[in-house]
Amino acid sequence: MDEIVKEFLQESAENLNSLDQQFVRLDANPGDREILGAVFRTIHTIKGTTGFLGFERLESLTHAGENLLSRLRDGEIALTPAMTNTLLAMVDAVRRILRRIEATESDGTGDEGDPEEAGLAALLNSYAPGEAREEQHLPVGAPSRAGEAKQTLASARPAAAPERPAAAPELEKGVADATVRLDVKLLDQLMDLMGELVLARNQILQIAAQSADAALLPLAQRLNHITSDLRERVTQTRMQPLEQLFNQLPRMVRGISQSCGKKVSLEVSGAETEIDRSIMEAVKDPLTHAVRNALDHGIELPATRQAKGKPETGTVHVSAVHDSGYVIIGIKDDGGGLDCAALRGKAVERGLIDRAAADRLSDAEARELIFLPGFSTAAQISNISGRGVGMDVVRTNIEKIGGSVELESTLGKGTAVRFRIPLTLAILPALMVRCAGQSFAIPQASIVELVRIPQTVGDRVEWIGDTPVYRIRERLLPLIVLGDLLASAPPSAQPLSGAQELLLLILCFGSRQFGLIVDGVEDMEEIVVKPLGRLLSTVSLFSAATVRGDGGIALILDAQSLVTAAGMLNNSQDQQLHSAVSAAEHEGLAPDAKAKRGVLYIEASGRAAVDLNQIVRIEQLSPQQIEVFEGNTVFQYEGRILPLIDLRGPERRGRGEEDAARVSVLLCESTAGDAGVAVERVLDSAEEEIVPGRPWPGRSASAAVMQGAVTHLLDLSQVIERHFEAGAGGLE
Amino acid sequence: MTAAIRPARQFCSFMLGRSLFGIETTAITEIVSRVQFTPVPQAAPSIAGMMNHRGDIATLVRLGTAIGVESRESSAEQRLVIFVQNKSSHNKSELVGLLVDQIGEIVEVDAEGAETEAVPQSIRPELRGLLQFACRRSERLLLALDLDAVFLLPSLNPVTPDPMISRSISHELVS
Repeated sequence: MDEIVKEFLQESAENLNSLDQQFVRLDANPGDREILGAVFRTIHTIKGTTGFLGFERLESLTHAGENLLSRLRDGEIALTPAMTNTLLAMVDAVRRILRRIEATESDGTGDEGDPEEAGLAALLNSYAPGEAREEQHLPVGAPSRAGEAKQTLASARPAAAPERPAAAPELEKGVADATVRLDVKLLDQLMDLMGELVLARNQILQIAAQSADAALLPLAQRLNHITSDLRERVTQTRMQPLEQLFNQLPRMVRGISQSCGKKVSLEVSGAETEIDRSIMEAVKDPLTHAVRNALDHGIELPATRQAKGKPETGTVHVSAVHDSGYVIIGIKDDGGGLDCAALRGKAVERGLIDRAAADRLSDAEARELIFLPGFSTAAQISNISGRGVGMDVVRTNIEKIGGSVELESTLGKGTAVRFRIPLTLAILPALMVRCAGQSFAIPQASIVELVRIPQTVGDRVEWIGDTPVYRIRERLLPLIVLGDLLASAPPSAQPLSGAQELLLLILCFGSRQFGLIVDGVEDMEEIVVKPLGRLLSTVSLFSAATVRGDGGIALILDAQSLVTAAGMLNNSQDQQLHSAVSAAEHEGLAPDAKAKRGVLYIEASGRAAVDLNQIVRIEQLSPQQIEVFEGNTVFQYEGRILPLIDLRGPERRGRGEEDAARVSVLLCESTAGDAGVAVERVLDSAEEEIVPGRPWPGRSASAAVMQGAVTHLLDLSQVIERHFEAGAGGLE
Repeated sequence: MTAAIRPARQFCSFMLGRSLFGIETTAITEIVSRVQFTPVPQAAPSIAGMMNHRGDIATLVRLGTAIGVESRESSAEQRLVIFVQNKSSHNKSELVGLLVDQIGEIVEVDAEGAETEAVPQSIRPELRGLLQFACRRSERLLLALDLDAVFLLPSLNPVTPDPMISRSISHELVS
């Protein structure tokens, strides 16, 4: 392809991307002449060059757009949303033609015209009736522009081309002379070579350490430092600001919110945060998906928002920050939040888990349900989202690149999704382990903990069905015996019998943790990730390998492949295991799968501890606010009538006590319904590791020694459930 | 027909079991003897493992197992590898090492095919489909392998099992 045409295509693509941005900004400030001017100039530049290169179709379309824009810029007519839509459609049409030029080197001039393009041009002209005026004050320099394009190899930002009048200072980055446009392939090759250099350095260091030559060691050290520095720089060359990704969002948000009839404003921060370009590619789809979700499922319709007392316009905040070797990308909305009860119901309805298992899930676990394959809560499948290939793919893709996805949500307040993404992929720290006489590398990011299980307590390995589990700090960890997995054998009891010491690596994959039993642990190494050949693509256990310092090869084991290979991702099996694990944990009186949990100490006929997660807030009610209605104690809260469950000692019950002290009421959310629980006093809150004692007969709780005192472990959701079962229904 | 001025095709001959095979030299990047390689657990039987070939990772194929010819699968010292590019991969070629029993000499075959003969009927049809032609060399029959056909063998064209998880992403990322 002609150099000039190539330059033109590259330049136009960048210009068009900035156009999207400007149009959306225009939507917010329809009269902004400066933006209009910038838009006009971009279109003008494209039009000028197309005319010179002989792309007549492109020229006639951009000409119509330019015409309308010049009127708008001069304030002759005012911009309407309809016009913006048409102009955006024009940008898309221009993109299509550019793609065609790229593929065929022709814009289709002389072919049968595209009716859509003709319609667009007509529409554009209809907004700006009258004879098209020729632009006078800009040096009409199509030929010179093109010539310039040919010469300016070092122009990173053609948007800031010199013909620009001073009217658009925000576009002048002033970096045009200091940057070089490079082929991405070259950067990739550079990174590959860098990997080789790291390997060569590792080898030299190994040899130097054993060598008697006094001159070699300092030299090797120097090589070591230079290589490290060089690596850092080379990694930097591949870094690009997330801006490129974030720039596509405003237009998407605009389009989706229009089609769902929602009002949404997008806030973006941290767009300057840099990330490896290969990771950028991988993040693109998950990010798009998460933003779509926020718009489609998160933000409510304007009427609903008003009814809830929220501003009509919802906000989606997309942010990016660096955090110790990771980039955190957050997508936060102020929409309806996740309804845990609805999530449980949906999961059961879809047959993803059974009712009993669903009810046992904590709210945090219920929220995790959205990451199950085939899960979608959208009542209606829209063309935007709700097809059930949603968050599981998001999580899979993010975890593929060694990242993780976190979710936080408050019902009625909104949802926040966070991607935690490594800065670079090609070189990563990994722990080398030995198994079956071979070395394997496990990326450090997925390793939580290393545990040595001495011989004597080998019986701590228990079996749930065919899966061995290990009890650690009162939670059960499914185990994978690497040796068995490599031999494609089912886990055998023999190595777990306790006759020998076990080396256990606790790995995490998303929110799930599991144990991996290996033969030995070698060392931490910086490894260069190399993909396996296509011939090995069926070996799902490994997706990549690395060349080691000694020239040998080690396969890379990642947590996801291990989980998949061990069948833990298999839904029904996993579910059985999950319910078995949680049942076993209940047996062991560890009510939840977390070692440390937020608890609230209360006084209610004695000292008790409740799960902080079950409490929405603590209210101080005056006794007058507590009323009796049809035999039930109730109170009003935010316009609702909630049942009040009184856990106070008999002497303090009832309403209107003489001392008129305020009553502490815990507002609780549970699957059975919402309720208030009156207690005598709130004592303290703390993060506690619950070490259960013996069950307490006759109570919906067990007891433990906490903070040095015997404490009831009170499950509020059970308390509420019993209350409702006893016939004291809530009135809503 | 003056064969002398015709360009000749060169074949590298090698032994696999008791048969003499040939691979066109233009397909070969290197021949290495006495290799150490890393086995890949769970890989197909025709895949021996991987080895480091100047910083690149090459997949080693047990050629005998792949094409169904009994091979000696001799001791580590005897392992001989012929490196070729597997061009049947979609986007880029993959470096593949073929494990063979013994490397022979380079054999020149007249490009016009004057010396070649049809593959004998006595050879199994499955193997016959992988051969370009046969050609008599001294006391033996050289079987010229069609590498493209070999790489199209089902045993060397695994179907990736899990379409839900887009492996392509990870491949792009690490490549």
